[in-house]
Amino acid sequence: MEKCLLCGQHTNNLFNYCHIFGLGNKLLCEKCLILLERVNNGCVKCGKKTKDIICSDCLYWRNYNLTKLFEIVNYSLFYYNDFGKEILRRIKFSGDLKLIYAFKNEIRLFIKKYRFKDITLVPVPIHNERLEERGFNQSLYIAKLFNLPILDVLVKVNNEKQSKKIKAMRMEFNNLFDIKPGVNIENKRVMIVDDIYTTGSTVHQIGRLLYEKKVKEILSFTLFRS
Amino acid sequence: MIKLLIEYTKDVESKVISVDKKNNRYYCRRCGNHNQKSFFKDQLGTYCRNCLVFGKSSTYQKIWRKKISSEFIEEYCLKKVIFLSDIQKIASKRCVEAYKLSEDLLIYAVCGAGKTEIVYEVILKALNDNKVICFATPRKDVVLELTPRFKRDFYQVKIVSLYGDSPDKGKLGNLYISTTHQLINYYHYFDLIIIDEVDAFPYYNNKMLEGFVKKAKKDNAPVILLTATPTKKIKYLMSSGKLAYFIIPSRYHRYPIPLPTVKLTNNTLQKLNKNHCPRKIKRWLVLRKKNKKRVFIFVPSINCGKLLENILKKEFNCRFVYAQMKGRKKIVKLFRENKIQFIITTTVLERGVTVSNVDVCIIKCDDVIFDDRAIVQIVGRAGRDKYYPNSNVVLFSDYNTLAIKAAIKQIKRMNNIAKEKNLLR
Ligand SMILES: [Zn+2]
Ligand SMILES: [Zn+2]
Ligand SMILES: [Zn+2]
Repeated sequence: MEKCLLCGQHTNNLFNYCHIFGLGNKLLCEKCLILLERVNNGCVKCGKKTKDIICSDCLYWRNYNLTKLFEIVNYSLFYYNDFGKEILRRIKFSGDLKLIYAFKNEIRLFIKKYRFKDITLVPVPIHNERLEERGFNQSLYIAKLFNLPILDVLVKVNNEKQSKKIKAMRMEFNNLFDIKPGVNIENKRVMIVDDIYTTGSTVHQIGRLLYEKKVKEILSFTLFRS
Repeated sequence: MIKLLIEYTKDVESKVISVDKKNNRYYCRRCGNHNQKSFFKDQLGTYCRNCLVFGKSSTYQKIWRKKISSEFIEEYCLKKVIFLSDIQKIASKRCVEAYKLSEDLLIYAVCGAGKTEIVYEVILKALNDNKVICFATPRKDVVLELTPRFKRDFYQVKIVSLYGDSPDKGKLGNLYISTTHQLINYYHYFDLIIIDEVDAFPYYNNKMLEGFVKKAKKDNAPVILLTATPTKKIKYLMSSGKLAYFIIPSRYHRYPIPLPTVKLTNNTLQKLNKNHCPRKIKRWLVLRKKNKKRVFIFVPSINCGKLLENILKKEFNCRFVYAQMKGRKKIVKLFRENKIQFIITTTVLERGVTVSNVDVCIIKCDDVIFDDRAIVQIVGRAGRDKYYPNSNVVLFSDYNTLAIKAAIKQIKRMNNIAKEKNLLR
């Protein structure tokens, strides 16, 4: 019998049964799945919980002179609630890569729903020091769940602990990323893949680099939207 | 730079790969895990999921087995004389013997027998042989309770207290009081390990923690196990002669353990759900209130406890506590200080908490959570004080369970052995 990846309990038989019809999620139990809050009816551009059509973060990027020339539509699966935080903590700080596979079915269903065509995935890189501590780049492994072509073309140039910094700082551009030389992504539809979308700073910094390389369209995907 | 995992040892200093391969199968040097299902491949190699909470152990990480050695003084002694009952003295001698022969020993002592004092002599003996000792327990509460007690009783012994967020981590000492979890950071280090409450969660049935003990001690170092409620496995080891043991059937004050009475109630849970306390329970509690006697009320679940607290709080000075609750310690303290008369609790207080002059009851004792060992532990809360050795202990149950019968049989058996051996007053 399969065990739930997140809580280690045996998955509910009923749920396995549902899975046969492509409805359920045999890697997660019912109890854990309920604790995850799906992104729904949020900002049309990024999914953030808001009463407005477009959230304040997105308006900021729309007016900011380095990002106003391109648009990024972001897709996130879940809101970053306490349970989401706990999952991400276990993936990133304990280094438990296996937990990422808990989202495999959710991502497959996501692709089915939007029928993306000719998409190239660009995972957000992490600094080498982080890689050695953690043992993997979580964004790369999230991208691997898509079964779509991946271009691991970005590098992180500056190791500043982003998550430790305050939100206002993150709105600014720090040139944290670069594109490996000699990569041609002109006219491609690319989707930036990351674990979490907080203010959109990461995604827009990378978006700017991709825009300069003349891509056709920029999308982004994250597991969580805070 | 990849962070090294540190393990303290008395062996020659070494650095070893944390997850290694043998006969094409992975094994984890950190936690002893061999189960291939618990290993997972990531970008840099393969890691062990079994011991992740202690930091990542993987094929690309090394354990630094760091040699440390503690200093000892000429002679150790106690700060005061500890009085032992005759049977405690015999048990104490048995521990010293086991230590001298490097043999494992189980002390099966009823709740309230005074287990801790029994190992004082062997600890002193080992200290004076310049040996490093570990008093390990599955529960952090016990570590926090025993550390000041050992510091009070032992003279000039460097005591190190280890638990998850302990400030003593990495410190050097002669006597370590540690949760079994923290033993992961030691390799062939201790000359004697004493494990208190071997049957308690999470040590019971936990191969990983058992492995930590084996790894932390020197190969020939003896282990002394203490328990009041042996598990089936321990009982098997005892009866098959695989583990030497000594039984202390009587309490230090030489009064028998109170025998619980069973009172049958109907549809307890349904009644509680309808905000109604079963009549028999209510009547019993009212009598306690009149006699101004403190009461432990054990319930099977948080839900049940909350319901009961709601029903009783109008009439009784009662509070409900459970494991994950904030401010639990404070409420227990108020109960100790006699400011709360009734404490409703889940099995979280089944062990360790000693309050004098209390009555004890279990509500819905037919619940599976109350196995025979849990019932014996709960009954063990009663009559601990030599001035108040008699307590009223009632098991309120929808029906008689095998666990209830087994628990009562067990208590009777211990009282009988004590009587036969003339250990009671
Ligand atoms: Zn689960
Ligand atoms: Zn938005
Ligand atoms: Zn391990």
